[in-house]
Amino acid sequence: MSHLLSPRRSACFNKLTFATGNVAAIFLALYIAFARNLERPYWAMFSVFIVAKPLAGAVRSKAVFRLVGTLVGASVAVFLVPPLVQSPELLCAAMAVWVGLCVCVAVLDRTPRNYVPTLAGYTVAIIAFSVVYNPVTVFDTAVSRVEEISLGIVCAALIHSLFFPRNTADELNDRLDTAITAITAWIDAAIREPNKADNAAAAQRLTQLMTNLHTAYTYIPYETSNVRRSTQLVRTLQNRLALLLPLFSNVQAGLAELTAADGINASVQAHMERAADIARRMGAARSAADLPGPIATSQLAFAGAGWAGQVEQATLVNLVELLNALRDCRLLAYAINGKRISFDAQLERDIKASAGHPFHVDRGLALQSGLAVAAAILIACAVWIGAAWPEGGVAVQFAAIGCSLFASMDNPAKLIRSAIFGIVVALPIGAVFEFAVLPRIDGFVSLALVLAPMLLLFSYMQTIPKLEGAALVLAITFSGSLALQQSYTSDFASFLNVNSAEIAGLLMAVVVNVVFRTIDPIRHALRISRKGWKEVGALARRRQLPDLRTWTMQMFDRHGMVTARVSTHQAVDRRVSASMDGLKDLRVGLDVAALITLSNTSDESERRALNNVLDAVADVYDAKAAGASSDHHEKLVTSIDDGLAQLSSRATDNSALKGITALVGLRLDLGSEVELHPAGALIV
Amino acid sequence: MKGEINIGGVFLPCLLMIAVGAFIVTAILKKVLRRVEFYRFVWHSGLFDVALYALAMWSVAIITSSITP
Repeated sequence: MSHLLSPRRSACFNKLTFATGNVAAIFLALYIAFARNLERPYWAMFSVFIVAKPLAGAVRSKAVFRLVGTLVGASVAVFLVPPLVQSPELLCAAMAVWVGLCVCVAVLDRTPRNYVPTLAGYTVAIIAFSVVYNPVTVFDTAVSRVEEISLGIVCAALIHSLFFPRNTADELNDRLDTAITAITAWIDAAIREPNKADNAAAAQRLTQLMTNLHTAYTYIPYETSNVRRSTQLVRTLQNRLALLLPLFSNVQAGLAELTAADGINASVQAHMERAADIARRMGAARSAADLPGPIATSQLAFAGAGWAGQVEQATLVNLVELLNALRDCRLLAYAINGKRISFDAQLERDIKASAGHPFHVDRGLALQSGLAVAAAILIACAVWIGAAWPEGGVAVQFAAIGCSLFASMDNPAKLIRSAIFGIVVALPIGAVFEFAVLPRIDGFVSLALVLAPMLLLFSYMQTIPKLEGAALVLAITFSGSLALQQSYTSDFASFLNVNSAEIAGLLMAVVVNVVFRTIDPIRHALRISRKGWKEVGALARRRQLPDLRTWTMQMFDRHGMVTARVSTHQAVDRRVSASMDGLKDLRVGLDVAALITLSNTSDESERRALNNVLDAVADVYDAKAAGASSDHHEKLVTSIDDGLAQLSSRATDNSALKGITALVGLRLDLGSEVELHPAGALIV
Repeated sequence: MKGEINIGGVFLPCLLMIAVGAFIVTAILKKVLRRVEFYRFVWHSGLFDVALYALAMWSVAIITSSITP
């Protein structure tokens, strides 16, 4: 019986159950709203659409955020409107300031939680500007907004947690399985045919897989109760996931270097085959007990001589660490899924010491977004009051909504434009239903039957990542234009007026965003990268280890932001995209950290050699951050070679191995001339 | 269980207060159950949580109506 609800169901089945459940939630919300005689049942209707997500945890988290945001917004509206309603200018100014402030806070918080301030901002605009002609009703409108939105999200949260819920921990486990299988295949392929072009494509897919892993964990605190909500476990998992990609790319770079020289020799191949074997056993394991134990570095690596030997050794050490990190991820994901797991000592220590990490924040951007929203509201208000336009309030609402929702994007104007397009597509459908179908409807059952096909279609579209945004716009416009109420009232003139005011408001938002808030994604990426370069330089200069986990997460976060921008932008100079490699910066940072640790325990001459390397890395990165071309390249390479000579002369132990691995990593990452182009010069 | 509660001039339905009270009770109960790893024996945790909430709401309603005549 339990296999029916087990996580491993086909993707299509998941999508269909999600869509059906969603439609059921909508009808439940509508039915209750009609039965309780609520004022605007369609608010409840599209609330369901807004919070609906394929993962149960995501629905619950968005539901909570939406509820809190709406409550705050409604209270502020009740507080602001009565004293200011006599002087429209003051009211408009107060709205602009409040919404601007909320958007500013929302942009600073890059977690899904930023939905709270976003909603607190534009809920005030929605309530305030719909009651200005009749301010006595502000309290009733605020209450009904809160009521209907809570009704919608409670229905959505309930249905999506009961009806074949898909939980984050299962999703995470599935994705990890895929990643482990892919890594096994990749190692196998790399051993058998090291020069094959397919490997590059496979590596690219793997990179994508590992990046995808990161999106799954955000919702764990909102999961149903069988998922363990230990923040410590989640944080440690985040940290291990962030290590996968740099380690993997290190192995990749090492293998590339070896094949470019004289091929991978037999002993390395033998070691790699053992690694592939371990990976395969890891993929086949169905429980924590089946998992192979942590791999000791000495099990796979050996002391190599000369440059090639050192690269071989470094590659194998990285491979071991990659497999160990994967193993840790696997264990942690099992543990989050409610299994009882005994961790090994190192992992246990890391879990105990885990701390939350702040994301990369950009205060300038937040301020700019806040000002843009405020400007849009003020302009829309000026048009409304100046032209004495009766539906102008709706335009102001939509200007505020448009600016708020897309505030954290690089190019909000483009997204608002596509939202307008979606509205234009959905309106005729809405009009057909409103004026041709609804007049023949009596009673809830026939209404449900008529609406079901459209709602099913929109819900199904929501499960396809590419269509998700479009589905949401279509669904909201559709339900908004129906404006289902207790009894059928239709008025074509008001239908046209209201909807054209919506579009006018969004157009104002577009104009304001084009003027104030269009950022070239590449420039933005450069801005983020520069912050990262400064960090690497500072790390190498300081000689003191910061909290490495926090540091890693921040660098990884930047890497994600940079790749998202560089990859979506077609016309990028290859040299520019190559110079903004956040992953490389992260790898260099990790190598630097390893060297700092080593130099704290080593003797005088070794420490001097390592400090030279650190100085050179700091110089290179400081120059990069300053946008100047650097002439430290030669110094860096000689200091690395010096350090390698020093380390290989001493007895091989674990710490020497780590040091050599770090130095080889640095040499591979920073040794070639290309990387030293100042990226800033290329863009301008 | 009838009527409304007056809080600072705002009349809130009793049912809402009971629902909020039951929510708090369920949250505490779930925390305890998670702590003792009770959920390992639960087949469908979402369903279990909803049932728990219904029970909590019923108990809160019974208790409050017996206290306030």
